Amino acid sequence: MRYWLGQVSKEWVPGRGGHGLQTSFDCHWREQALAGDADAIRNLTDVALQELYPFCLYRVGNRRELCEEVVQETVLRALDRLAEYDPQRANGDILRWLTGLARNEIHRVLAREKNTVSLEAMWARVDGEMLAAYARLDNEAFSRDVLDREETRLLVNATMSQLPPHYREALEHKYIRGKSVREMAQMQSLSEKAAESLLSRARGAFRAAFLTIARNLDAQTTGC
Amino acid sequence: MTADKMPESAEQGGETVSERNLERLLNTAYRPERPSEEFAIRLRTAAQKHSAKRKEKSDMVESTVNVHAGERAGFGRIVGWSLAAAAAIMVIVALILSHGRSEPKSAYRMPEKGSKADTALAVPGSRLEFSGTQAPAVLPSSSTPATNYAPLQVLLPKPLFEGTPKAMKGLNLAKPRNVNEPFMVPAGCENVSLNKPVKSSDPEPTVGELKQVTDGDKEAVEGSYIELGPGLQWVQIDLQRQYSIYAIMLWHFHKEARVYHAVVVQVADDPDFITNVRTVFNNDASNSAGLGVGADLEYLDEYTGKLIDAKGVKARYVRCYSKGNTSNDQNHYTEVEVYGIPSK
Repeated sequence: MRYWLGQVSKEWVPGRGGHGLQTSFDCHWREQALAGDADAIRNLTDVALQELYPFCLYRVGNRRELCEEVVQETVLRALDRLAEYDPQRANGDILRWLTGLARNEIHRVLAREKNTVSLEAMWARVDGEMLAAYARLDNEAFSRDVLDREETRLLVNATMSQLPPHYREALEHKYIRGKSVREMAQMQSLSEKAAESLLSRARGAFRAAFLTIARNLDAQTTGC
Repeated sequence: MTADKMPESAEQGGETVSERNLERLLNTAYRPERPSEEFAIRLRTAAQKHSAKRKEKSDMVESTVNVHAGERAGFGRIVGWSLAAAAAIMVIVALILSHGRSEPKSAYRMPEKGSKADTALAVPGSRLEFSGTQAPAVLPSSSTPATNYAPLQVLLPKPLFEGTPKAMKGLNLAKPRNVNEPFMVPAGCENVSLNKPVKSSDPEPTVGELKQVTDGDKEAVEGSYIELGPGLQWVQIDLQRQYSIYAIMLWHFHKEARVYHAVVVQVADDPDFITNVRTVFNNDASNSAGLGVGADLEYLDEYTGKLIDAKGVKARYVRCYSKGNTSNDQNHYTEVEVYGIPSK
């Protein structure tokens, strides 16, 4: 089951971090972090908490204690290997480098916990009827019953964890915090048109990822 | 499954069903996963502490380097002045002597028969003596006197020790290898394991692919090593023909100061290690691998690699065992190199 998470994540686009993180992880930041500057280190842990945590959670079977271990080890490893981080190559976006390090930690944790963590088991609860309902996303309105199901919540959260941070941030502003397009534009110093366009692209990315995951789950359960 | 608004047309008021579904999914089902405040505090504290420790360590290294650089600069000046003075004296002496001579003489003198500089062949099992600053070389003990020898050429990876080494009390470790000490092998001896097929007791490594064991990449970075499961594991290289093996270089994981346990290296004539199995290295003092008690010492895995003297043993298959390490129970292999010459 691990493969589909990897497949969707390939669509990641480098961004400058979501959730209002305005830090550019450039050469200046790296110098400060290497010098042990408390604010620079804090910026790194903020990215880890806000961006890396959801990325890792569904990759370790939704087990919070394992996710915390992975995130912490990744941050410490990143501090040890900071000299290898190339801000110019990463265009100031440290998240992709961090996720690379996190993948190794996830491998390590999954190998150690292979008897207790089963990514398959996490999704086994999603029955075929639900998957068929998800697949009708474009054609039929979801019922209240579908929306209230725990599996739906799991699937939506997993989908959101796959999205690039700026898309996730746009969707959260709109649907969780109830911001208007104008407010979003002001917050992100964009024109209204650009904010609307960003939101539209974010919705498109969410839809594609949601359907991909649902389809792959369906293939798994029906043995295709 | 009863829809709250069914049936519904594909498009209502300019908004498609798909858009409405997405909106409802995000409004109703999405609950962002956030780490607990307790974890956030723990992570921030750990990161700040780790960073402070790193800074302290790097400051110490820097000050040591500065002191050494200063010492070297001072020493260099003294040597420079001494050489200049010696040269001046020699020129003066030469000028004085040249006045009293009728015939000029060549400065070159042939070495005397049997002198150290005249040694062309190495004596097996002994150390070659070198004049000047070159370090002594060790010969494989089983080599024959008539063979021509050359130092083993091994391309070393970049040294990279990270993190705080785990406590390694009670271990009787071998002395680290001196890379300036050439290991002599018969001329023409080369790495015969490069890109050769690899098998393992754990056919699906947790990290990496088996072919990485012989891909020539021995750097201590992610993507260069493989991780096998816990407990006793092995990797096996098929050299695809019989070779006289003189040296085996082994890099487990040299990014961190670690000692791998029960390191046993065997060679054999068949892939199942039934026929003509010979052990060329064994540091399993407690026989935990069940391959016999080993007399070799455990060692710290370093960028210099573990050099195993295979003494010209003839074999096609090489198998390396290990059983966890001082940091965890896993087994890692960055690279294995087998140096030999085709066997007649």
